[in-house]
Amino acid sequence: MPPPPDPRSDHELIAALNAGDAAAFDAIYYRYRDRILRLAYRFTANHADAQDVLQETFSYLYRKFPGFRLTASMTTFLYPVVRNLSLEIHRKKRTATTTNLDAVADLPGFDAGDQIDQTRADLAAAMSNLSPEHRQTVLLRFVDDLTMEEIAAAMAVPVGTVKSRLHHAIAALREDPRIRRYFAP
Amino acid sequence: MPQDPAQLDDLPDPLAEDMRQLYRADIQPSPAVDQAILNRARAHIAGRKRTLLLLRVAGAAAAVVLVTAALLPSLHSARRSARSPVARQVQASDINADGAVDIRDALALQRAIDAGRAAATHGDITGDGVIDKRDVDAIAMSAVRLDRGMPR
Amino acid sequence: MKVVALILAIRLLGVVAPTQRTEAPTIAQPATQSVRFATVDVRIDPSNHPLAAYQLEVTADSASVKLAGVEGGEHAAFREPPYYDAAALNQNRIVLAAFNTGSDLPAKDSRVARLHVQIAGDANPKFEVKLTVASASDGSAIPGATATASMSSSPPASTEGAVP
Repeated sequence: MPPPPDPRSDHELIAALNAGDAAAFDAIYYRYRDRILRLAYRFTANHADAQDVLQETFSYLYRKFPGFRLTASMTTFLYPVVRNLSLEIHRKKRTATTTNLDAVADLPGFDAGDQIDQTRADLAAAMSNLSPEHRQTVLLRFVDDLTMEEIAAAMAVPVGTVKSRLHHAIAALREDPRIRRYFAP
Repeated sequence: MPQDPAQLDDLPDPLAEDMRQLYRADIQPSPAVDQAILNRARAHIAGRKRTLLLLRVAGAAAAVVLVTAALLPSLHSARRSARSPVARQVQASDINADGAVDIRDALALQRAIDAGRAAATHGDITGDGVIDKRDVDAIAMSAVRLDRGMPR
Repeated sequence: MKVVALILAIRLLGVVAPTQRTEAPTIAQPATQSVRFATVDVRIDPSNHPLAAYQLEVTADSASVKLAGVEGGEHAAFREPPYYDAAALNQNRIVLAAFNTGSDLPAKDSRVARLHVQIAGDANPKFEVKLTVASASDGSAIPGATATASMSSSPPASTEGAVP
């Protein structure tokens, strides 16, 4: 059972951790656990792998103490770690030479035989037409609610690239006749 | 006439909502995983706290010895290196010794690491005691810097 | 020697805490005027020699061009984004470099990088490429290698999941 939210800022918790207050780690863990887990699942598309990435990410973090200094936000510090760990799992599992995390299946978890309404099917089809990198950017932005900076950290690209990908992805969705009704005035 | 860029980079609310319904990551944290992580973290932090205290005590004692030794007159005259720290780093980064630091030095160091002969390269650019991909990356980043104050 | 001993003494006393190197996120400022996005494909033709490493500089001839992003190339060896200086973002000049130690290397003309650029107003910029390194696996220079940079005003059609 998670404890009540800690009112201290990330920097205050890190200062406490550097001073040896191990309980401060609990606060940081519960504050970011769900986001890390969702991002790990976005990259790995596998529950067990996502839990492994969660464990390794926070192991990476606590091994930084004492002496750790946070110079950016916690998410921009941790998201590249999540990406690298997910990549590592991906490499070990796949026999192909490509290690493109963004190509990992992120299509909705339904089988072809499921009964879904046409609206959702059209949306899934339109999304599948996007390139893996563009689709990933859209999902991180609008489903996982990451900021541009967080997406940049998670995908290991500059913020400008994130903006450019988002721009092109949305333009492509806007032009897709299957979901044009969403954009009608 | 181009549209307002801000409008082009957002989704209509119904589309965003349907997208969330379709793609929301359905994964729940595991209490067992929570406990395992937190237990290991506490053990690590408590252990580091004890180690740090011991190191500080030992370090203070060693510091006294070193300061004393440093203040004693040297027996041999010191030879100061004529190279600046920057020049020393440039020399270290020039893995292939062609007088320039470029991506070929990163390639050479990576090949040396892969072949198990990194130690012979003096390629510890980051100064962390290990020659690894971080040093390769440091050389590559040095090669692409726009304000290359270091000599080619 | 004295300096080294003093520095060591200070470190042992723990006065200087070890620092954690983290990278601050790069935040691009949004344009305040009408802008359009374009992509610039950077290509290298290594004249039938396997290309293991490259380094080049791309410069736009107009200050109305700002770099917004960098992506990798079409061959698997250079699919990951190349090394570049983040300071190049929001400027009109960039140095790109990449290498691959594998055996599957491009020997024909191929796109090694794609730049995303933001162009203000109606400018139609040209891009100059200076190829400083094109080398084989052993680091030797590839004779006759050439590089080009060409801009498309609208993104090319996506094929097989490739990033436009």
